[in-house]
Amino acid sequence: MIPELVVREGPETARTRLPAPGQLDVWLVRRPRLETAAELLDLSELDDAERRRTASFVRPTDGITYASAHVALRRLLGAYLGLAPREVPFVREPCPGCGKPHGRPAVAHPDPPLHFSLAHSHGMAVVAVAATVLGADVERLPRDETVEVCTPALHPGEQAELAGLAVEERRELFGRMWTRKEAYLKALGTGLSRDPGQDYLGADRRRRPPGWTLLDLPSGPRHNAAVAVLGGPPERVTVRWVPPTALYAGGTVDLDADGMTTHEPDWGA
Amino acid sequence: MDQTTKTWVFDDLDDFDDFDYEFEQDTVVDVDPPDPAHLAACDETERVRLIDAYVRAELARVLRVPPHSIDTEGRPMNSLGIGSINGLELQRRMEAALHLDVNLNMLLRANSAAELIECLSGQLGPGDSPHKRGGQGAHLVSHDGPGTT
Repeated sequence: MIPELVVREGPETARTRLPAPGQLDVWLVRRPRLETAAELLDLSELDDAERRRTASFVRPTDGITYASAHVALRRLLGAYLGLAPREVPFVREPCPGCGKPHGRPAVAHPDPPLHFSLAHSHGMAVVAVAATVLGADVERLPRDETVEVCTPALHPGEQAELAGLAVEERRELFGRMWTRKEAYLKALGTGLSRDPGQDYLGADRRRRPPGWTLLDLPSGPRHNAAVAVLGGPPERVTVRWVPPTALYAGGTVDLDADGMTTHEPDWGA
Repeated sequence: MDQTTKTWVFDDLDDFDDFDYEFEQDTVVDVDPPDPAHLAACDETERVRLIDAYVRAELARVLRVPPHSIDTEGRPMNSLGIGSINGLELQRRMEAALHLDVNLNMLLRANSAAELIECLSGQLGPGDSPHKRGGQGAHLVSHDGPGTT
């Protein structure tokens, strides 16, 4: 049964820690090592579908990444909402294309008290939380062969920016463009049912979709990550790690943990 | 974003070298796509067999694993290792080889590779298969848990 969330008057109560308007919290998650993950990861808070999905991956590391991301998501949203992790009520919003319930994942509530987006790829996950609509993506750096095949599917302006670049630079730039694009399409709720060549998410901010802010995130040497936020630049962006112990049995997340806090112009893609 | 900021929170990590690359083999798969005209002319059993072999080979090429190791029946595409970028690569390779439109969203959300094979078989066969008209806008969606990429 989906618990009913308490309607709150302010952004924060004794039980909840809702993000304030203008606040964007980004949480980075890293999977535990393969040798210890089965012993340490606490899957008890996942629902049946999440546990089935965890077991379905061909590569064990993908399953561990998926499970880590979902344990982190439940514990983070539980901390924001003042709920036990397993009681966080997820729903799918209506698809903007067809109206069926496979649109953006959300917290069940007529007026969601927060918005979130989750992405994971090859050992890393990103959870972004804000008071406004947003989308997040993380991807492992693509192979050059993949970039070669996929580039013609991008917006002509994006293709032009990739043309003539050296191999490594092109892989990096493609990864950045793609994560912005997928973050944006997730925020729209369409996902990749919308043609990836339709929108420009390249380097020129003025040509990007109006009414949205795109942020490239710190993502290390193997990945790219980005967030799309509805409206103007967030006033305060904080990026933190979810420590591995927070994914273990008895672990909790600390919403006040140290992180890198900055204003959007410092990181704006 | 400068390089210092991009890697800021990763300074104390020293094991990225084995970060999820340990299962990836450098399997190079030669893919020999079937001729669309032959697919349209042959019977359904043969068409499905040829497309099954082709889809396995394309998945294996993109995932860098041996074709025989691809589980076409019991796993959604994401569980096989197909994400948005290599899903786009798969879509574009299939479209170029088979001369048809493959719906990227449908491909990514297919409940199994077999579902994709069945859909392609319908599109590539003779007659009036519903798949002939269903390439764009079709929604084959699994609804399990909060979705991610």
